[in-house]
Amino acid sequence: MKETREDRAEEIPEGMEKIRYDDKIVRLFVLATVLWGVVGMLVGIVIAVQLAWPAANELGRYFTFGRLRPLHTNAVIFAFAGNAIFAAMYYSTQRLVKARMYSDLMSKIHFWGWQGIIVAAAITLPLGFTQTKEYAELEWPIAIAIAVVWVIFAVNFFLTLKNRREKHLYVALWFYIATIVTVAVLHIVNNLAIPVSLFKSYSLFAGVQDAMIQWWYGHNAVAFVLTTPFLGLMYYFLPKAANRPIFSYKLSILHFWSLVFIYIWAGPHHLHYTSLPQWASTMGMVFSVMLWMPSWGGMINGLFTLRGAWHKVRTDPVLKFFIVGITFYGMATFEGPMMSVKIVNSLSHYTDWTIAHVHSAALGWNGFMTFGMIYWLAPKLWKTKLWSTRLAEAHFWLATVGILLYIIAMYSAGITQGLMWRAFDETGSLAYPEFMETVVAILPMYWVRVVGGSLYFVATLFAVINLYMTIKNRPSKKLEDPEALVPVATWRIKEQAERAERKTRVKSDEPARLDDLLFELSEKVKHGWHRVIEGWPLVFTTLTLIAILIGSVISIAPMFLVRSNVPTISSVKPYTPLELEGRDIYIEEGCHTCHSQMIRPMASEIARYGDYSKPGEDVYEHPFLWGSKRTGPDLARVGGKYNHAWHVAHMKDPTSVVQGSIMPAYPWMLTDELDLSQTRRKVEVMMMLGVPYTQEEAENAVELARAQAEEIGRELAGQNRDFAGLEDRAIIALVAYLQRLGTDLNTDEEGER
Amino acid sequence: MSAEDKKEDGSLYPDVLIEGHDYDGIEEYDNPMPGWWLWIFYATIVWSIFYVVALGVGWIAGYDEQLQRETAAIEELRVAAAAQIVPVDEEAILAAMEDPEALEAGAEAYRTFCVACHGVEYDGGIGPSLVDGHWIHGDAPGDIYRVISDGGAGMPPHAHLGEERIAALVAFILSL
Repeated sequence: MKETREDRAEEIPEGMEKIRYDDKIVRLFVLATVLWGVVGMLVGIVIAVQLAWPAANELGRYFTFGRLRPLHTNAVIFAFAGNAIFAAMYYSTQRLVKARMYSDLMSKIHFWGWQGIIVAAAITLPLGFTQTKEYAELEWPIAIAIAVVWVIFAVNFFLTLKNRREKHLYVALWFYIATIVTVAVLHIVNNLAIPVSLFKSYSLFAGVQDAMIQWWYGHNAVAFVLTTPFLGLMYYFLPKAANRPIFSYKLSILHFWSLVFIYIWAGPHHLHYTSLPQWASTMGMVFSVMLWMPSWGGMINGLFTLRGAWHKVRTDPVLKFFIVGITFYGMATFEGPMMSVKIVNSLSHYTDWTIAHVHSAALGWNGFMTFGMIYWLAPKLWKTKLWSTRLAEAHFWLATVGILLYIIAMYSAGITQGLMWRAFDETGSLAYPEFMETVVAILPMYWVRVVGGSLYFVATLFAVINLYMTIKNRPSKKLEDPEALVPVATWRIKEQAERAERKTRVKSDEPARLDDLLFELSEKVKHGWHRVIEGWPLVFTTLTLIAILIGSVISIAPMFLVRSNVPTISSVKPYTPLELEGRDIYIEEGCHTCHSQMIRPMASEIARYGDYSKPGEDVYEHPFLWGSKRTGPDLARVGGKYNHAWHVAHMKDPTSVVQGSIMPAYPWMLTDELDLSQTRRKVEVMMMLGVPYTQEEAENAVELARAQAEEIGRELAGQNRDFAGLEDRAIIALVAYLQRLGTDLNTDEEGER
Repeated sequence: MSAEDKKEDGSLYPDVLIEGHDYDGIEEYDNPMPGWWLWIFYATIVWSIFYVVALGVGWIAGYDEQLQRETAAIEELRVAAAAQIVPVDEEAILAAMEDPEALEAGAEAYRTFCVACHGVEYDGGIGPSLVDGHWIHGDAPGDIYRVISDGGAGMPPHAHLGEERIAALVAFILSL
């Protein structure tokens, strides 16, 4: 602690002390928020254009949709929203506990470490280094860096709580605690993997288990990065901006505990109708439905806090952002439980409906809460007026129109395509047997999305200008940390005295009197038991940890312990070394961002793709590649459906075989050399993970791969002479992999057609 | 409208501040939780328990049952449709196979419409091979006729060629 007490000469009232808050770190986080916001949204526009106009993929091999999509999601979630919540936490925590951050150094390490991680993500994701798991794509060295930085942040935060002068923790801090603890647990478990090389690893888990862990993580990344910290943000900045008391303390308590307890169970709703056991999916669904009101508790406490301050909304852009942000939160947290209901999910899953849902939450809730906070904070942090209220108003209106265009386009696209996929005609055949037909139908909506997203982006640029001009008008280049007069923590002195007294009592062998102890206890709980734990951060944190661990353990443990959850299939064999290499190309290119490998047990899917996927088919899938979005068709049973030449022609130029295809072309796969330098190591790592290769197969991995490549090369040349001589090119491995997909079951595909 | 005006309107909530709750100037009301909020919360819990039980004892269809019902409904449509369709005249196709003129017409059509994808040697390229004995959509003359006419799996429909020409084409392909 570096609280300055040098000017003793100045009068400090009795029982008060003077401290300085660290606002420099908050300024840094605010600037980073805006910077990464611009980057993340810009990448969003690029990939939106790529979907509407595939020629935009020709930016180069490192900038195709499959590589940029994870960059967009990571930038927006962890760089934009991430820095925003850190700004909120550092600003509000210091003031809520009336203490400077415990260590300026740790704060700085947190800030610069986090920015370093973002830069590393921005470099490695386009290079194709990815673990594939959504929002956990970053390869293991970066994942470790995240864990380290997060722990430093946590230590700094909790030691600040330890130094607090305010005995009781305010509700915003409860949400921060839940965030810090849960993100640590989620991140570590979902990133467990065995490295193959510096930027390549295989998940410790496979298939169904891997999917379960990933969506336990994925859904709760939404919960504990995009919901709880933003609720904390709301609980501080909204009453500050509106100058109104919080509507209901009781509601805060119930909605906080029910939210953190229930949220953690909801992950499996991302896996309805997959080969995840139905009981797990059912748990995910009912807990999502029960989550509706706990989520709305936050919305109610926010909106009802504004009672009596609605007149301010007309003139104050900050409150406008907050109100609309909270409203989008309410919409999204109603829609989420609705989409978790299996019957609704059967339509919405794999479609742009999901994209609409996440953007109403990310642009509406996270974006607007962030910008509301920044417009409120900027004048305080840079000690001047906001440069232009009118520009902030313009930002608000333009961004609102942008969001509406975006989500209406995506709802329309999602529902249209979902209905087309499942439609049968009167003869009992698929009404739209060609996947392309369903893409062509929604392409206009992809353009509307580009327009809506661009409006939101331009509106964000207004914020950049406004912030830049505000900073330019700051009174001096070197802004001092703000001073605050805060009451001395007399409660702590009292508690220490009591503790000392108790010690002497024990020493003097005088037995503690029961009535004394009871009296002490009744004094403590006279404001309710919750008030007591609000004064005990360690206990509060432990209880929060228990609350999130209950759901985690109960939903995940049976997946590993009960064998019947994943019945094995004897004909399912590990990939050959060449297919394994092909699979890694599939991963590198991000094919899973647009293609699922999970056929659901529905008549329309079986008619379109073949028999539905079985859990036993995925036992060697490290990591699982089920995907979550079908921009292109499912590939779980694509093996043998087309010949090698079709695949090569398709990768070289998709439109040559599928008219109007919006898939990027990958011509370099036909010229890149087949890289087998890691093959042996890959097979060995798979063996460590329990995939039954023999030692011999591992030792001869390269030879085996070469032999298979020769064979496929020969078949390929036989099918099309133009494709002769490709046996030592990367494409061979990908073809080998694609031709293997779904063939282990030898199902009678023709019978379904 | 100030806070005071609002209260005179008869606010639903007492709005009593809780003593000692002041965090950096933020205070809290001791208001009760809204009744509707609590009741919907309870209702979702009751519904969840009901759903789990109902699924467990089979009142609600699980994945397997849903699929069976769906498949049965589609199958009914297919059976009904099959009864409606005038079957492809397989006899005519078989007859065409014996007719050199028809075979020549089929070969001509092949060179115009099919060669780009299925190759000069009929061994495929973009489309699958027609001479490897493997028929993705079935090897009966009727099956092949329907694939040409209706398309499928990446192949565009060619109904515009007309029944006679498609029959000739099928005959030609089968003669390979």
